[in-house]
Amino acid sequence: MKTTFRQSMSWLHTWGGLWFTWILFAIFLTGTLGVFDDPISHWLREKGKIGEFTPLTAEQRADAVRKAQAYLQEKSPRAEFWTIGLPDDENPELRVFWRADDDAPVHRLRLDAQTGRELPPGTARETEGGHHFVHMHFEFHAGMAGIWIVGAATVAMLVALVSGIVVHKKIFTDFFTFRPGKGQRSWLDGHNALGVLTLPFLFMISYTGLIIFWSIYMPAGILARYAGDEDAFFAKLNEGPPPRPMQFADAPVHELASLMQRGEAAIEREAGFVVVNHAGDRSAAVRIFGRFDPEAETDRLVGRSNGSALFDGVSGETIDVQKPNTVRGGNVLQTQRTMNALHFVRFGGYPMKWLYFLSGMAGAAMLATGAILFMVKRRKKSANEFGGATPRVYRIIEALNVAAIAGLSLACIGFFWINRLLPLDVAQRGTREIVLFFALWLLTLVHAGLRPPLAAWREQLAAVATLCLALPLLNLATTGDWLFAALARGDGETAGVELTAIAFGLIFAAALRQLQRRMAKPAVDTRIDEKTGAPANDVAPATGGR
Amino acid sequence: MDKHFAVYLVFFVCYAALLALCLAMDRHHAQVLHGKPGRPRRLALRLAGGSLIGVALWLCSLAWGWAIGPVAWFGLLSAAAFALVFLLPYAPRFAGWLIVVGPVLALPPFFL
Amino acid sequence: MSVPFASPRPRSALLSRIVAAVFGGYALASVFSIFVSHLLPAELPEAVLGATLFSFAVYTAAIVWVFAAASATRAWLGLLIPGALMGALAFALQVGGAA
Repeated sequence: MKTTFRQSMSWLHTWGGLWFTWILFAIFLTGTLGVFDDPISHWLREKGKIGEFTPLTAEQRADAVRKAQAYLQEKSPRAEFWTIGLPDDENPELRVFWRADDDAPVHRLRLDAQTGRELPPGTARETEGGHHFVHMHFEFHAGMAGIWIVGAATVAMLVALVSGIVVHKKIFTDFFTFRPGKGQRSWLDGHNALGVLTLPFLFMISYTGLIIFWSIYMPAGILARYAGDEDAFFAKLNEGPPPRPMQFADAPVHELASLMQRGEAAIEREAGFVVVNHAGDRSAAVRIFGRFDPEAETDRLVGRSNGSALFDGVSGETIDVQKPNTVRGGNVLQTQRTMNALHFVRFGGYPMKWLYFLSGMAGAAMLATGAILFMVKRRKKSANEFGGATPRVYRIIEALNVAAIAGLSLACIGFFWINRLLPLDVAQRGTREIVLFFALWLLTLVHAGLRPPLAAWREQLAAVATLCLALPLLNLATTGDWLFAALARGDGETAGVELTAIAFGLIFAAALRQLQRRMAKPAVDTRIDEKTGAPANDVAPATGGR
Repeated sequence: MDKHFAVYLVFFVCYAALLALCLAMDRHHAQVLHGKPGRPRRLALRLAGGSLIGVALWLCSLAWGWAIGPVAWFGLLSAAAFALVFLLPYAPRFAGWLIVVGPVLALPPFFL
Repeated sequence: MSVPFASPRPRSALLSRIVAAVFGGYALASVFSIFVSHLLPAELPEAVLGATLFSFAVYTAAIVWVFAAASATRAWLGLLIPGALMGALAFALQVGGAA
């Protein structure tokens, strides 16, 4: 029997989609939350209570850099890199990061800008903040392996979009169609509507996501045309100075405070970061980065340079200066930057972020409805794809659906609860929060495996709704701050996080109510609709087909 | 143009455009206004819908420029489409009335 | 249709298609990015970047092709022929350009 193009695409859409849908849902949900990583960090760090940050004077900045250099010199005299993050209103402490060599872990610590000593745990709510969701989004906190998993899933997403369009026969006549309360038909309608209405967004966000890591995902061009010399390739592409390979000869790092002052003078902007590459080696280079200026990004699609100055890390000689608001590189590089910018939505301020948030959530919902549709169809009548193992495979798919959709949602809102409930003085607090996040997610999988599918759905949805709705109360109980206090002082970030949590709580509660109604009566039979003769039914019966 | 004002304005222009396109289809015309649209009305609705989508893009370019404008346009079109698609089954009459009530409530505060 | 794992196609043919899609498609996209980097009228680093920007679309299209083809053999041929062609041309251009 000859299979048609649409039939093969239907197969590809169903199975290619299914095996990747759980990962993709996680990517979409966490990435969408990541759109608001700054307000989320604001909430998680209780910044509403800290009040205004007083910027450091030039002398204080130089002093802070001196303290950081002394600290790093003692901890890791030779290092692949040192990074010093100067205090700003996002991070009021002095931050240092270093890595001994390529294989070593990155160390990150916060110092007291006045004394240069490590801040003891418990002085502030140490947390990864909203970046947790961003890291989940592009690497699942799993480094290079995570980046590859996300890349593979993104390609699967593109394939599912293309095949989905082919499968969806009546893409235009059904454009505005959503028929609720009709079981499988409604899931299909919802899946189609969510997918079709956000189609441009979905293509854009998937493709640009791949482009961000283009040299990791598709290194063939650099390998073949540049013999794999990435440093040389990127130096040329970015029109920067040539790379400085390791020389494996000891040399002391130049005094950083003076380099920072010269750098600030050269770029005519305050420094935000001081980075030393190959610290302790003769090839050392020091780069002073200008402070990030969010205002300058709002009105243009592609943000411009914040300015940077590069010095020889031993002699202190100036190698390169790029002034703020300048652009380097040719048209193709600008194209790639535009694609990155489209993905990161640093432009356009809050209105644009909200549009991305809505579109991203619609994408996540489209994935969720697709995964649920798969099982809704098969609950009624098994398609028997796996022979005798079919019921067991279905059971696993049901459990994964619950854990991936409701379970991850629970872990995400749970992260906010963990942040408030974990004692302040535990060591490595930021990491603990993330470990507990994964533990909670794993727990939802165990729960989904043990309970019957519909009961698992009901219980996890109820848990998500409760945690979301009670978030302001948790904040009040643990920190004394909450929604109304935040609204009263005009703290839109804190209030926004809690209001959004309440909105999600209501959505999950509504889903729960639907589910309970559905559990109260036997499975929906499409024939019932024909008896009631609702006009919406004169359209085609469930297309099945996939 | 003030960006927040532009968000509301373009949203309703997009909503009007999509509503017009949707009313040009028998099924949805029956849902919102009852009966089937005649041929002239159908054509008029399609024409209005199409041109309003163009107007929305133009308004976006005024508010955000031609780099960011199209992104805002796609986003607001999607948002308006969601509003319409999810109102149609639950409150079909209101889906029609929203284009009258919505702008009247949302837009004037910007001029106060 | 839609009985994928119990389809009349033998299981090995399905496996062959999956390998063709994942690895064959990736190889085709890689060769494409090298080949097109020779054609783009830009300086070398930009040409490489530009070609790579398109290669993800090629990968997607290759996967769709593999599952749309009438047989696994045809699916492989559809990857190998354009792949070999682009590879040979890229090699010729590389050698010719170096001479």
